[in-house]
Amino acid sequence: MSWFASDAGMVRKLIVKDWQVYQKQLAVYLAAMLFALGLIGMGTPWMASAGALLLLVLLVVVGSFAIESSVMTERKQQTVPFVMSLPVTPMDFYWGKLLANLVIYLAPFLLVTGGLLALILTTPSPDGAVTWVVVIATFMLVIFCVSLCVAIALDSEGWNTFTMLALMTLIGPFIYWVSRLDGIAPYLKTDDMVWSAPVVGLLGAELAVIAITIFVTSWVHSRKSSFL
Amino acid sequence: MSAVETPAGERIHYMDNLRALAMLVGVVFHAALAYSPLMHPFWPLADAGRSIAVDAGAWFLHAFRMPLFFVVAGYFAALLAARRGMGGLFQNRCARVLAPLLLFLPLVLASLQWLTVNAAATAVHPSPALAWIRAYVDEHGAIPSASGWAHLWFLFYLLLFTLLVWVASALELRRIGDRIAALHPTVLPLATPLLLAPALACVSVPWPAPESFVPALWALVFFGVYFAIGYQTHHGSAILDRLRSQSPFLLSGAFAAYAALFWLTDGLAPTRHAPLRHFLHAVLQAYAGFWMTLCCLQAARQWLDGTSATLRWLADASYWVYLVHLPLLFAIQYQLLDMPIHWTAKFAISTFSTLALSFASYQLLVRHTVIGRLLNGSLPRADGKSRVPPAIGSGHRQPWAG
Amino acid sequence: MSPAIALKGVCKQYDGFALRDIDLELPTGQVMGLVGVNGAGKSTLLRLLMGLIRADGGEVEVLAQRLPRAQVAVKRDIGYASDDMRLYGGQTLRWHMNFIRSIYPGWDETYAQDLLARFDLKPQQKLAGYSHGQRVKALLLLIFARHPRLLLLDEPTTGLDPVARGEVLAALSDVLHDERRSILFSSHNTADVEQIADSITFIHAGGIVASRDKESFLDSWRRILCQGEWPDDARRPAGVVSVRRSASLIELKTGAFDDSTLPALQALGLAVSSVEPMSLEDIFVTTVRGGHNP
Repeated sequence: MSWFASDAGMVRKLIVKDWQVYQKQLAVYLAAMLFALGLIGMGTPWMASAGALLLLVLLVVVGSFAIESSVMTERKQQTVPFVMSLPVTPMDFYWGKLLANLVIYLAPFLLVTGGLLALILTTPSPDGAVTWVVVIATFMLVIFCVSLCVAIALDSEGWNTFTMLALMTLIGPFIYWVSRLDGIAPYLKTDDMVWSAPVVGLLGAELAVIAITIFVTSWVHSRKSSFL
Repeated sequence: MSAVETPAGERIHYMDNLRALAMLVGVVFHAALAYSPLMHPFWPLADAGRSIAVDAGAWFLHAFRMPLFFVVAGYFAALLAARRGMGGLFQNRCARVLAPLLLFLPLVLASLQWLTVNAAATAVHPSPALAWIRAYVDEHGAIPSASGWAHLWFLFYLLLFTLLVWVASALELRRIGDRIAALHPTVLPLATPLLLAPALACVSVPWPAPESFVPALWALVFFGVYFAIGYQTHHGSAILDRLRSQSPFLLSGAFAAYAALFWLTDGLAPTRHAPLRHFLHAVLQAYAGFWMTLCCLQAARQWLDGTSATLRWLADASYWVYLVHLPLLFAIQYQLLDMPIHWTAKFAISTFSTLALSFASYQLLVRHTVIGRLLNGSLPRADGKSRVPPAIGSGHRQPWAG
Repeated sequence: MSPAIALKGVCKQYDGFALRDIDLELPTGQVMGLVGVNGAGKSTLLRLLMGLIRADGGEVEVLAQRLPRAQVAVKRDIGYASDDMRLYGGQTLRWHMNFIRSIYPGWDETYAQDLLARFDLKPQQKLAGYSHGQRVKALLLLIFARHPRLLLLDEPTTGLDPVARGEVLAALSDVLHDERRSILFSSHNTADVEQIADSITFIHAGGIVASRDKESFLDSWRRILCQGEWPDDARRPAGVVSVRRSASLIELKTGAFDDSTLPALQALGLAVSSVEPMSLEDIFVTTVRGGHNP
C-alpha cells in the first residue's frame, strides 16, 4: 500500500470538511485566545499572568479537545463509515485527519508563539527568554503531535485519554527542568539570545520526536490495505 | 440613480462621509496635542504655548472620534459580509487593512523616530519629552526604543474585529444582536455606556491609544461594542430612526457629562483618584462619548447623506491622509517649536499645511497609482459603473448603477 | 457485460465468526436481496464488497475491478449505506449534499430536489433534528442523487414506517430503469425482498445457503400436507427439508418441487391433501432451520 494519499484533491476536501464541521469549536477557541491575549495586553501583573496561564491552558487543553472531537467523537458518532464510503483509501483518510488537526492547531499556535516572540523582542523584556519560549512552545507541539498520532492509530478511548493526561502532566516538570537548564537559565534575564548546544540539542530532540511519531504512525497506517 | 440601495435598503453615503470626517478630524486632534496642557509633559511636539481651551476641545473630540470610526467600520464590515460572504470580507480586509498596516508601519515608525532624533539634537526650545530624550541619547547613545502600532493601532483592531465577526457568525450570534436591537429605544443610550464604563475604568481618563502590539482587553471591549453596534446597524437602522427624537437630549447630555468630567478631574489632570471616583469619571466619559456618537450618526443621516465629486474625492483621500499625516505633522511641528509666533498661529499653520501636503501627495502620488488601488480599490470607470466598495468601506461608488 | 459483483471462494475469519467459501454473482442490471438472520454475515459481506475489509482468501471483484486494490475507483461508482452509518448531526442536509456534490461529478441536482420533495425532507434543518426514518432517507438521498452504478444497501428499510418504506422502495425501483445499474441489498424483511428483488441469496452462519432467482425459489418450494403414516425405514425424498408430524397429519416442506414429487409421496403411501406455495419468509425460516432437522 502506498505511503502517500491516492488523491490529494480528496485529502483537501476532507480537511475542508473537518474545518467546516468543527467551525463552532474553533470559533470559541479563537475567541478565548483573543481574550487571553487581551488580558496579557492589559499590562497589570495579575491580568498578564492570568492571560498567560489561560493561553497555556488553551494551547494544551483545547489542542487535545480538538483531537478528541475530530477523531474520537467521530468514531463514537459513527460518522466514520460515511467517510469510508467515499472514494478514499485508508491513507487518504489518515492524511486528511492528520493534516486537518495539524493545521487547525498550528495556525493559532504559530500566531501565539510568534506574537509572544515579537512581544519579547520589541519590548524591554529580556531577549534571552526567546530560547525558553521556543523550547517550551515546541514541547507543546510535541505533546499535540504525539496525542494526535496515538488517537489516530488506536481506536481506544481509554488509551487516548491516558496518553493525553500523561503527556500533560509532563509539562510542569519540563518547564521546571528547562528553566534550570545550563544553556538557558543564565540568559533568562539578560538581553542575549543564546542558542547554546544544550538548547539546540533539546530543540533537535523535540523536532525528532515529532518526525518519528508521524513517521511511525504513517508507516503503521500504510500497512493497512483496507479500513477495517 | 442618485442613491445607492444596499440589500438592506439602506443608503450609505452618510457612513462614507462620516468615516472621512472622523479621519480628517483626527489630523486636527493630533495637531492640537502640541498645545494641550495635559500632554505637555509627554508629547515630544509639545510647544511652550498652550491653553486649557485646547484640552477642553481636543479631549471632547477624542471621546467620540474613534468610537464613531469603529461604528462606521462595523457597518461596512456587515455590508461586505452580506455582499461577498466571509471569505470576501477576509480577502478585502487583508488587502485594504492588513497590507497597508504592514507596509506603512515600518515607514511611519522609522520616520517618526528619525524626526524625533533630529529634533532632540537640534531643537532650541525642546518640549520636556524632547529634552528628556536628548538627555537619554547623551547618556546611552541611542534613542529609547518605542515600538507599537503608533497611530495605526486602529487597523490592528479592525483586523481583530474581523476575526470576531467570523467567530460571531460561526456561533450564530445574530439572534442576540437582533434581540438587542428590538429593545425599547431608551434602553440603548442608557445601558450601553454602563457596559463601556468598566472597560474605560481599566485605563486612565482620557483613554490612551492602545498602541501596544498585544491587544488590550479594554480596547477590545470598548471599541468592540461600537463595532458591533455599527455591524447591527447594517441589518436595519430602525433603531437609529427610533433614537432620532432623542438627539437634542443626547447632545446636551453629552456636553453636560463631559463638562462634569472636565470639572471633576480639574481639566483632566492626571492625578490618581480613588477607585470609585475613577469609575465615575469612566462612566461620564462613556456617556459623553456614546451620546455624541449617536448624535453624530443622526446628524450625518440628516445632513451628510448626499454625495458629490468633491465629497467622493475627500472620502477617497481620507485614508491616505490619515496614514501619512503623523510624520508630516511631526516634521512641521518640530520646525515650529523654535518659531516665535503665537501657538494659535502655529496650530493653524501645522493643521493646514499637514492637510495640504497630505491631500497634495494623495492627488499627485497616490490616487492614480497602485497605492491608491491598494487603499481604495479601483476608481470608477468612466461609464459610471463601478466595482464593489473599496477601502475600509467607502460605499459611495454605485455598484448597481444603471 | 461483466457481472456487477463476482465473489469466488471468499473467506474471512474473525474471532467468533467466519465467512466460509462464498461464491456469489450478481449480473449487471439486477437486484439481489440478501436475506439472513442477525449475525449471519450480511454486513461483513457488504463491507467486503466495498473494500472496507480485506478477504483472507478468494477473489472479490466488483464492477470488474479487484478489491481491495481498486477500492477508490470502485467506490466512485458505488453507493453504500449501512445502518451503523451516521451523518454529521451539526450540519444541515444541504451541507451534506454540497459535500457529496463536490466529490462526485455524477451528482444530479434536479433529481436530488425531486427526492427531497418525495422524501419530504427539509434541507436547511440540521441532521441532529431528524428522526430515524428521516435520517435513513437522507442517507439514501445522498446516494441515489449521484446515480451510482452499484448500490450496496445494508438493511435500508429497517426501522422505517410503512409510508417511508414505500418511498424508499419506489426510489429503488427508479434505479432499476437503468439497465446498467445494479442493487444488492440486505434485509430481514422478506416482504421487501419479495417486492423488488430479481434474485435472492440466503446467508446463514457465514455461508451461502441458497442463491437463486426469485421465480425459481417460489416455483420450487411447496408446503405439502399429507395424511398417513410415514414409513420408518423410508428415505426422505430428495429436496424435502422438513417433515413435521402431528396426529395423523404430516406437513412436508420441500425445495425441489417438480412433477415427480407428488407421485413419490404417494408411492410412500401418503395421501396428499393440499399443496401450497410458500412465502419467502417461510422458505427462509425453513432453509435456516433445515440444517438442524434430523
